[in-house]
Amino acid sequence: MGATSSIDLLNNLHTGFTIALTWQNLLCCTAGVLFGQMIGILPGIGAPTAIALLLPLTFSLNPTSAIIMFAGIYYGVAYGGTVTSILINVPGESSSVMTCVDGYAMAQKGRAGAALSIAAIGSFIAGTAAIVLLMSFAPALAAFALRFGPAEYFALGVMAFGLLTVFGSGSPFKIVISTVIGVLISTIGMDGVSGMPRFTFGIPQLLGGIDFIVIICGLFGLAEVFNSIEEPEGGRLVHDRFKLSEVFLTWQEWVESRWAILRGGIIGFLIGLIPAGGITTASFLAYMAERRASKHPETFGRGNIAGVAAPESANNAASISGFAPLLALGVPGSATTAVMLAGFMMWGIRPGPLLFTTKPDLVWGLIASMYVGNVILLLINMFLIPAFVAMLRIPYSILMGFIVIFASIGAYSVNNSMFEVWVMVGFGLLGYAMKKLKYPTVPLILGMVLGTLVEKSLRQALVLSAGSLDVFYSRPIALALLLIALLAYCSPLIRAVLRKAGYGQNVVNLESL
Amino acid sequence: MRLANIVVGVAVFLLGLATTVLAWTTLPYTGDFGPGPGFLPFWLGLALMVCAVPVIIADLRAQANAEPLFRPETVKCVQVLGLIVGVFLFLPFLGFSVGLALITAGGMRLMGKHGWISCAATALLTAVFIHYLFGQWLSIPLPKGVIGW
Repeated sequence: MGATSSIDLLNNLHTGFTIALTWQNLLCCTAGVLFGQMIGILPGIGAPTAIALLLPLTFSLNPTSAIIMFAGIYYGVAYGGTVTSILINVPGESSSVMTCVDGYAMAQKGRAGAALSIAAIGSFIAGTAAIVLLMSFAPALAAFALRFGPAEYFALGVMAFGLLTVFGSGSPFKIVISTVIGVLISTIGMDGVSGMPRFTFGIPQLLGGIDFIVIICGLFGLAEVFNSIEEPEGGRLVHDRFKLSEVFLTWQEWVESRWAILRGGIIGFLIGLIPAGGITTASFLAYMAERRASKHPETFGRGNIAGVAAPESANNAASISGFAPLLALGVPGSATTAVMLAGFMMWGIRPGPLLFTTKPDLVWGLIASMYVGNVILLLINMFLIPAFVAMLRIPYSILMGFIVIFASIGAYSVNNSMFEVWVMVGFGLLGYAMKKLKYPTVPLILGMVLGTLVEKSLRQALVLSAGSLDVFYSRPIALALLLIALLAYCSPLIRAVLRKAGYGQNVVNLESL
Repeated sequence: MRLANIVVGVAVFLLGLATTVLAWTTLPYTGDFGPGPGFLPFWLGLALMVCAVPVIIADLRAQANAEPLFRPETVKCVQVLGLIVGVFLFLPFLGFSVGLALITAGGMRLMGKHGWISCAATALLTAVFIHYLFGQWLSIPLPKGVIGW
């Protein structure tokens, strides 16, 4: 049985490579990782924004090539965010925040090349190992998810919302408000069951609902423009001319980093599997674990190379394993995978347990392309760093115009109508206000994406049970998921009690941030 | 910032109230075979109201926040927003390629210390980029202005 499934796995992977290595897909993968790397380097444009803004570029591609390109952008961003963290102490991505701590300290000591190098090597090793695990884990998760009925899907959605309060920062009430508003937005338009219009206020353009891409372009694209104007991300470039010899590690540096890569990779993979776990949480936990495991924790924050290797390995592994819940359950774990889900749906593909059997070419082509993408990223990060560093000199006054261009065209091209462009402007202002008043935007996005699934599942489950709530506690999987959700919603309370009792006070040296 | 948070908290509460009332009055709570289209919005509205209350109370209790709501840079945000809205209003006349190129050039003038010549050159290149990449290569039917771009 085991041998058969291993052979199946290898056959699937072979099929995947024959798809990923076609010239068109190879080109899309390369373009994706290059765009991702470049966008990761530019502060102010995150991965979800990048993917949403680049959607129009994929209109002429087939779905497999487009998804391969998006995946390339996704994990390319995880690599790219490192460069600014290390060189100017400004994380290009929130997942690179922990890299600033020791990476920037290393750069100040003249070891920027080694820091960039270990980040690329760690990301490559952890990323590749995560793909191997994803290959085995995702189909198994999909097979398990075949047992899911409406009650389980409803419980899964509620659990994902609940976990946002565990992994999110700030007021839990603001997280819930943001999530609820996201779900509420998903109810706008024609009701899928009764055909009755909801919250359309007589506006015909709202009958089909508000497209997810329009919201992303506003909430992340345009809002980022306003936020970056108001709070420009400063930072001094400590090292802007590189010789190739500087990127090679000493033996001592490699010895100090190897276990950090392993530990970071494992933590990253596991956190990435959890809906709403997120790659930022993964990199933070990996950094903390590494500091705890170190014989010299006092050197963390002062340029310890393991403090770069661990979070970088973790964020790359998490970005790969984040595909497991998306592909196998159809449940995105982060804003970026939520945009990926929107991309899938744009081409009429619904991720979920059946995707592995109905669209094996797409799934295995995507997985195989991740191997290819990681190799390309390792090479460009080892040898093309000077070219990317040069990008840091592009003034934001020019970049800003291009973000507006891509956001506007992205919104317009959804229905070829100016109505969507105005809606995008509205969501741009909403995103700006939310960031200013510390309302997180990621729960809104996940609420919007999962809202339809949650409502449909809830209504189906209650129809099947003739209105009885038994269906949610008489089925073990649904019950378990709802209990996790309950625990998650109570987590702020539990945390407060633990903090009062003197537990859970993490001390991180963030002085260099 | 504290006042702004309170105002937004109240706005969220009112949004919840409006949602609940609209759902209850205009949408059926139950359908033929189970929950109707008003079921989820009704409960979402209630959830918004319930969550808004502690947010408002927390801000009412909080000390006046030293962090200002508006910074000197906020003026630039308003200027850029005005530029974007102004250009979008005239897009049927300007066309997408020219309009968005104007936003790029205008943004450069507002945000950076760029001369008129570099702004004009960037605008020209941007218009060509948008027209050929999106309009021609990707065949997105972008609205054309008076110059046919």
